[in-house]
Amino acid sequence: MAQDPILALYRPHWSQQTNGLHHSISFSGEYNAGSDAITNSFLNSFYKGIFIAATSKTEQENRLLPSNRIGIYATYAGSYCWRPNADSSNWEFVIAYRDRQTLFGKFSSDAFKLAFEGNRPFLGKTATLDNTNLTNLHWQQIQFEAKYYTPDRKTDAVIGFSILNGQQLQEINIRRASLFTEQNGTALDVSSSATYYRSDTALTKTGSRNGSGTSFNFRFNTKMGDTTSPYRQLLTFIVQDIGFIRWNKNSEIYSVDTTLHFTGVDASAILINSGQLTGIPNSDSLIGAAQNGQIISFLPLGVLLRYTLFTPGQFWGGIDARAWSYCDALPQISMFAGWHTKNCHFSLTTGAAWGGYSRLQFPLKIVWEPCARFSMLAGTNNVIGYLVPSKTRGQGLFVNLSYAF
Amino acid sequence: MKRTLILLFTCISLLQFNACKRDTGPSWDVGIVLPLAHASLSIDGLLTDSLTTTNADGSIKLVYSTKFLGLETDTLFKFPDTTVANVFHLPVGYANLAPGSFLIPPSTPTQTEFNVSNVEIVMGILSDGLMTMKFKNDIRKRVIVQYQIPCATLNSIPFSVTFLIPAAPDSLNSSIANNTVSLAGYTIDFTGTNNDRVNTITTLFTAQIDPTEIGNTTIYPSDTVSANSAFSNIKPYYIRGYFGNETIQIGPEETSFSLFNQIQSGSIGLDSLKMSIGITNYLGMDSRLTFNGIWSRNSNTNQTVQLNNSLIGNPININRGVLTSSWLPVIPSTYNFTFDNSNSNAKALIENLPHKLGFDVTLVTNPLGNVSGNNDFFFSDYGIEATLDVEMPLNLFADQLVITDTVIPNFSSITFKENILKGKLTLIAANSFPFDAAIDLYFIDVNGNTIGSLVSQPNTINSGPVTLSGGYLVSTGTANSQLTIPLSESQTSDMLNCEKIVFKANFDTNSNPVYAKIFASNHLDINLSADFDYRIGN
Repeated sequence: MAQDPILALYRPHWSQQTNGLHHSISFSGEYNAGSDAITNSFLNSFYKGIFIAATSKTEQENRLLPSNRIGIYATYAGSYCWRPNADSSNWEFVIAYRDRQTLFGKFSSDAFKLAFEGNRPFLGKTATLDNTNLTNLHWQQIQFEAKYYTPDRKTDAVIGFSILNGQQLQEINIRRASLFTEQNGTALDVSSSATYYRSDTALTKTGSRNGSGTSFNFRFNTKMGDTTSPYRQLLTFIVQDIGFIRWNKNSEIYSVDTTLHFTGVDASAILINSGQLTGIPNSDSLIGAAQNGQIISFLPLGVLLRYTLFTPGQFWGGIDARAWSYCDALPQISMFAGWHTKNCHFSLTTGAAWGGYSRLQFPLKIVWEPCARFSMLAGTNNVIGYLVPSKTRGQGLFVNLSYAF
Repeated sequence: MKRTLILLFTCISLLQFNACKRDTGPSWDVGIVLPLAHASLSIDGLLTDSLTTTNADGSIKLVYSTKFLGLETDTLFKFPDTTVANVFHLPVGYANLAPGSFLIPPSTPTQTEFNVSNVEIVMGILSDGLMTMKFKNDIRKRVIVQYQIPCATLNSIPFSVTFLIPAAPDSLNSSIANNTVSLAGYTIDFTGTNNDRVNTITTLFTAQIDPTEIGNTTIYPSDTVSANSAFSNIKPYYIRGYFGNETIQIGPEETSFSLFNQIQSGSIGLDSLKMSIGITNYLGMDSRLTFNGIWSRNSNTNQTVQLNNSLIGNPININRGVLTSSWLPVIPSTYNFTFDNSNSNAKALIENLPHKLGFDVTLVTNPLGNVSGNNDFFFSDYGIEATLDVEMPLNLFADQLVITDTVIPNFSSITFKENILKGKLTLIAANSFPFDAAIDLYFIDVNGNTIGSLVSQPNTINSGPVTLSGGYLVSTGTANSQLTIPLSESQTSDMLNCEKIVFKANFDTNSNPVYAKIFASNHLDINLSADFDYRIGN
């Protein structure tokens, strides 16, 4: 997994012991990163800002696929929840501020080698970068949500509306690209067909308004079956981030269609009579001139469908399926099981998942409610990503701190 | 409750810590291989300021021409700055004058002779020149002055200017007015009013009380009206007259000889050489010219070779150029003197690989006196010129001939150059010249000091395969050479921080005393590529 895991983590978490309280605030944050090729230890090198040694690169290269996916997602949020009549109201309202950033895409193994080894390994060979995409999207949102409980408390539905501020977009789509390096380094042949979009580069600070948009989200929970049965079933359906950002007219669009044979600058004149160097490539000849214009980018849409079975004891279990509109993200299937203490002050959920940007993952979530006002939710998307990072792909942490009053 | 809040804020702090961006990012090394430069050098490229011609057999002949002596016309004659004074004094007593009265009536022009000796100028056309007039008026009325130079005409109209001089402000102070006019383009007759003089300019000055003034004015004996005209910066485009019988010494002095400027050391042997000195006289004046000496000097070795030939020390009579109505308006007289292996040591003069060409010349003007009857002439841009032409078949041997060239690389424009680590340069050469070339590179800092060098071993670009043909060594194909120059981190740093790169090439035909023959088809093709480690990130 490497994308928004659709946990609705930004919402305040009401403690099971909460009674008679109308208000709750929460702070939450999460990150997750995954790839079907890049190991956690390699990603950690980036996060820690250390020097990546040749052995580490070689080890990583040996695990590459012809086409590799990667996705990184990070967010933090603060929110406030109000329910008019504590414990009995049919309505609940939330306002949340969320800062969200995602980077996702796919790349060829040659693209990785070119980025981390240079073109030296390609002497006399062609490095192929076809079908390489990378998108970096950073936005903030003010989210309003209304939650309605049916009178029988069997079903609840949430609908949300968000106002979006687009801070940054960078998107490169390389449809076709290759780099041939002559065996003795005397010539480079570049061929590329690509597009590159980026938002206004004049404003780069956090919260900069380079675009704006709206989005909607929807969540639905219903208890199924006989309510008197000791085994209760819950069906959950979530759709989030149905929306778009329109980036302002100062956004830049590059359309690259280049074929270049570069043999170095022509130094004949300078060697003869201290004349001029000729044949120096410039950015215009390589990537063309930028065109300014508005860009519309759709938010990465996420859908979740979950079935949960609660047993009469302290255990539950379930299965869910998730899908994203992210670049080449696979659908994800998760099976999970949980346990809570008798007083429900502590619970633990774990399971196994396959899909998304990563392969096999083992999520773990704990919820601790030490008192009626405070609850903490924390976990990881892949616990073994931290235990054996050199052999696993996919990692992530999340936490939510809620306080009711 | 308190414990809960502490826990809450601790967690928030941890979240914020994770959200902070790190000051240092990840880094890794990549290997970058890229072509830096390529060049294709023919013999044209290796020799500067020269022209090559191709013989019937495809071999090359080098033709080099340089002007080494010029006699400017201002050496013969120059107008001195000259002032002409015109002053009016009331002769005796007082005068009461009405408006319109002449203070200085039109009368005989003033004739002023330029102070020049041994020269008799009768006519000139000026390309430049200024006349600055200073007027003084003691009379308390406006005065109109007219200044004329009857002998100066432009489009057949004599020079004439009129000025209004303001009235004197009071009896103690004068009114002063200055004016400057250009004389460019005027034709001046320097023979005076009656055409019987030389070097003479005529002027006419009149002064009149402004007729529009109201009422009479009284003039006192001390009152004056004057005009001083100063001729300055007079430059003739054309002059006619007699320029005298003068002896003019030119030199000894040296001029640059750029053919071998880039050669630092070594020697060459030339099969043959033809050298000629051409003299062109545009002056309408007979002269006698004597070359007291002609020499070449190598600035590096300071070795001087004097030309030995019968021309040296023997005077040459140079006839005058002839006026013509076409352009150029003069047909020059020309003389040509040829030197080769049979009549001189011209080959040694050039084999000295000179940077300077020296001469010592004596010129006698009008050695037979004023035989033209004041009809000598010159046009200012055309004097006497001497040129040296060298024509040599490129049949030569080079013995450790070191040629240097300097390139300003502008590495300062490279961003993140500190991220460029060690590496190597690879020079691949395809050489069809019949000589080897050993290449070295030196890095020079802003103070001109050598801060590093790249000298690889082997560093030789091999000559093309050679064979003897007609007694000459000729190249029959192309030889490929590859030089690898390792760059340590310090050498890389030296290179990227240098201001200049000096290329030093050591050429050797390895054939002395057999001459190698250069053909137009001979080329040296060079490809320079770099393979270096580059650190991405911090």
